[in-house]
Amino acid sequence: MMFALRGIAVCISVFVMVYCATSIAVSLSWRHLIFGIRQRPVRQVADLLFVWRIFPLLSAAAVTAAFTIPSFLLLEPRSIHEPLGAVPIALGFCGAAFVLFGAVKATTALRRARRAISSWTKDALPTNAGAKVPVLRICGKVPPITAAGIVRSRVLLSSAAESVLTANELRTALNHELAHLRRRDNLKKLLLQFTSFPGMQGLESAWLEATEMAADDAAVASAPEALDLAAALIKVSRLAPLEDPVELTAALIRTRAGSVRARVERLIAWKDQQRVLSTSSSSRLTFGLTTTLATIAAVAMSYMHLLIGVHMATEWLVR
Amino acid sequence: MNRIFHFRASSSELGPLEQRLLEALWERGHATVRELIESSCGDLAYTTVMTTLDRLFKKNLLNRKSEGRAFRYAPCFTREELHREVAGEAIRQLLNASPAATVPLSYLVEILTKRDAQLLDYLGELVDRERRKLRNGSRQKNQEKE
Repeated sequence: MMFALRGIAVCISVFVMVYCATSIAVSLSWRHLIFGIRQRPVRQVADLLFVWRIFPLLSAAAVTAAFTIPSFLLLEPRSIHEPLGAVPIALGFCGAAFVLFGAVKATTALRRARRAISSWTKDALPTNAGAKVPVLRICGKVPPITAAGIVRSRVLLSSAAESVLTANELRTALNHELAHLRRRDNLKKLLLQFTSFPGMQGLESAWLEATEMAADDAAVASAPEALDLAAALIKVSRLAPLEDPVELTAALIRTRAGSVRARVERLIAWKDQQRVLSTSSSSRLTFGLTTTLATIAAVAMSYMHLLIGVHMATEWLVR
Repeated sequence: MNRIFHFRASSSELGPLEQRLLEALWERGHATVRELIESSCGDLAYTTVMTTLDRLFKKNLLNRKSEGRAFRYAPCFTREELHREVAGEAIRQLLNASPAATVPLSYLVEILTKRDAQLLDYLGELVDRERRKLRNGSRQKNQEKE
């Protein structure tokens, strides 16, 4: 019993320490990352920013699963009755508080989104948009066009938006929302709620902006279509009120007209090349794969030594 | 954020030369008077740059440390922090202008809404112009083919 308790406390402690250290590093370094990747296609920028945002969770989980648990199970003697020190207990509570806070935040956001969606779709009717997911026509003026739902995805379209947009504008606007659903952006937003950490708001805003632009890029395939989407953004901006967007939904317009400007100007200057990934991306992918494989091989070769090192560190932690 | 500016609101308005030197320092990170003159302010006299940097230092906008017989200057704040503070100061003044806080707030909302509408009109015109350009371009291509 004591062995299991000690094991849990050590694992949570290591998780919390790695999570906090990497979170601080990420919150301090994301601006440099943006500066380094600003020339890349916006879809890659959005993906990299998201990976960087959840890197603390990934790294903490990976270190705990790959090193802490095995080192404890293999190297910790089961017979001794070693008491738990104050540090692992404090870190254990800290970890539990993190999980609890994340769970409460995520659940609250889910509830709010569910409540908002059910009020919007009260008298909604399905449309004949020919999309892979249901497109529902809602009666109210807001939200004009929104991708909603995490498991049961659908696009909500207000009759006001439908009436002001031309057929081509409506098609590109719907494509934009479908791109959000394809990329599982609402699920990613839920994950961000769960892993909230102070100082990450700037990175999250940058990611949200990049996802909007990535969805814009995915929605259009030619310059006329880009102009249709730009016109749709402008028209929908006039319909959208000065309200905070509902969490875990992806509205066509999230914020004020000022932030729409960048997207519209980008769409006006749309080039066919924007859809095409840079030619050097395949060589970068090969380089990334090679580096990952080399790292895995190096870790595998010195795995036992690493486990011994981790075990010594956790021993120090328990005392 | 209040700790940023210990200078009076009236002195927060920067002159064109002060703005230019601040921009140059934001670009470089830090510099001496000579480095600024050699890089981006070659048209200015040494004493002009020195006096302006000294004024910015006294306004708490620059840090400086001595380097030999000269000073090396660095901005205390990023461009965004400065802009945020200046905007915040303007809004604070607006709110203090009336005993009822809701009155200036309603002005603010009104101004923002008007500004948004103007911006959307401008963007709409840009889109229309590009559409016309595209249409004319494709018409010309068709005529050339015929």
